[in-house]
Amino acid sequence: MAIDTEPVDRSRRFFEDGFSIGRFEITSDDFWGWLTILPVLALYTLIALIPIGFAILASLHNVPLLNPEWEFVGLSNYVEVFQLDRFWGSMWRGGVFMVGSTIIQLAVGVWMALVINKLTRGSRLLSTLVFTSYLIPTIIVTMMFLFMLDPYDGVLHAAGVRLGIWEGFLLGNTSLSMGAVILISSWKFSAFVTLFTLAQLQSIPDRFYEAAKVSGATTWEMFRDITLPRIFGAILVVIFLRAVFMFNKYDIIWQLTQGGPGSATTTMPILAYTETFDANAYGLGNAVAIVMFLFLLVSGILYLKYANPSQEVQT
Amino acid sequence: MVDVTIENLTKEFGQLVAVDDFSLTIEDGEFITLVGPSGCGKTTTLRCVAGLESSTSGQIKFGDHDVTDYPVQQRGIALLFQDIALYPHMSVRENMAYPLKLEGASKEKRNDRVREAAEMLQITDQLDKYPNELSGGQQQRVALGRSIVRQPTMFLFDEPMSDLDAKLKHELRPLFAEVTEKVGCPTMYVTHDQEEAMTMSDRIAVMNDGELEQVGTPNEVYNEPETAFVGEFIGRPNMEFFDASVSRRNGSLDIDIGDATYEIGANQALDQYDGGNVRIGIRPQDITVVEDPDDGLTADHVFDETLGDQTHSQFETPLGRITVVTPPQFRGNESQYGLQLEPDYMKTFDPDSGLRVD
Repeated sequence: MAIDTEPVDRSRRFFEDGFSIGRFEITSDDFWGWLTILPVLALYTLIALIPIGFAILASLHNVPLLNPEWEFVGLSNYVEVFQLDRFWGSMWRGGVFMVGSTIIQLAVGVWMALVINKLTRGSRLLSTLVFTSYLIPTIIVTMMFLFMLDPYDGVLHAAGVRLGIWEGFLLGNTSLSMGAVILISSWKFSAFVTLFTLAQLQSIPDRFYEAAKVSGATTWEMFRDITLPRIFGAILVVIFLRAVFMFNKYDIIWQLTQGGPGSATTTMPILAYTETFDANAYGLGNAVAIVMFLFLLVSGILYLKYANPSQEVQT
Repeated sequence: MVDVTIENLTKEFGQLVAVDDFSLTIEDGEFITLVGPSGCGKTTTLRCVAGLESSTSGQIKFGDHDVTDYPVQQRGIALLFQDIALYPHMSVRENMAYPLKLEGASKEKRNDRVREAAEMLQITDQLDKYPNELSGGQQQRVALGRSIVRQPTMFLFDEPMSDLDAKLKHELRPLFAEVTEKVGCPTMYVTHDQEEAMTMSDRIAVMNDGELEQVGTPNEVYNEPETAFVGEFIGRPNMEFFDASVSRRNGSLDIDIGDATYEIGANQALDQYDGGNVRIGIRPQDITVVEDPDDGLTADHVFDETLGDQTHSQFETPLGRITVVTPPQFRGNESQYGLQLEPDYMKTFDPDSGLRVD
């Protein structure tokens, strides 16, 4: 080992050359690396890891809500979940809600983005208006629609009934309430897709279209061969995000229908809530939530593996 | 294939007149370069001919065919952009085959044409790569390939080499010339680089401020500039200009530049300027440096730019800073000299309009 004959530079601080705690060598990079990610790590632990761990723990216990003594029951909550008819029903309805609202949001959102991107004047104003719907708090959106669908003086109600689309309170209609909830959610969340797609559309240089015109491309061919491939990656990402968000969506459904009428709009998050607070089974409710989480995790991984949006996003 | 005729083309953007009453005929197989400083309207002219911009007035004809109101797609042109505009999501092969695909050509035909073009452009080994894996020069070759897989009615180049370095330019210049000659249609090449214009063109059209200043072969625009602007824009180093006064003596005319007087004999064109002023332009190649400061224009040497085959020497004179092309061994050493202008090579311009008058 070489003998360090250099005089110690007292102006340098201890972490600039690294130091060691016992046998652990800590370089300067390590020091700063850990120091900078530590706050995030702590926050993440506090708001994500601990609650998830808590939920998993609770799902392994029998916890009556009014008498919160945890009785360990192993996996029996899960066994019970899979035996519940309403679990499979809510999973199906959750799937319908997720797929339906994602498709509508995608169609409307991409269409709005294409229109705004085409406008030469007023596109700023229009996009501001469109994005406003996304910024309005969910509770306001639902209040607005509840007012408009009110059977006594709601304007949408009057229009729908006069046109013969529905009778009585729309959200109280067993066969139509799911569709209504999907449409109302899409009204709010389509702007998310627009925002995403518009950013991608605006990054396509005009030259691409000019070069395509020179090559003889029609408007449709330019859309098919330039626009679509250029925004495809963004669309894959947006499908993923919207699907996850919509599958987990709780607030807008609860505020509109509380999962009703009957269980017509009871998706999985609604079921988890009702099992916990209406059926007084904290452990069982958590088991539903964990199953939901695992379901999303597996489908998410499969989606990312096979659709691979990151490969498409590259320019 | 046919001639391309541009008649009285005008393009206005609101108040701004970008192209003003532009007329030009490009003959079949002819390579014409539109050259001028940035903002002179040359690119706008090209975009009008391409159909990417609609003209305010005027006509564009391919042969006897008026295409003024045709969309780009129906003009059948080939166009090379400065920013190349290859599609990043398509391979080189797909990029090149794209116009054929739109035409609905069969797969074999597409492959044949792409291979043919790739061979001519020496990019056969690049066909399966993606544009972002290629250098700028290679990308421009691919773009050139994309434009020649179909037989175009006309070839347009919009400053295709502006973003490339000098070495690549020298490589691509002969390639462009070779390819356009093989394709054989009228070619309009837009550039701000007078050297590109001089080396590649059959004829050069010099534009300034939306207007066509002069059209002619490279030699014509170099030797006989019709306006002071053309004289200054074409040729390096820039033409030098002097304010001069004209006076008559014994039936012949004298031109006074500073304290030097040049006798130019009888000249009818200059008669009207007798007693008035003209602008004299002369190329730095046609100015001679003499040791005697009193012979010609007195000049203080400032510095030399050695180029190897010649030297560009700068002099401070009472009429301003002058560049002179001197022999390769010339070293001025900041002393005083006399500058002699060759009367035979002086070009005389009207001081107000800038038009050639001799």
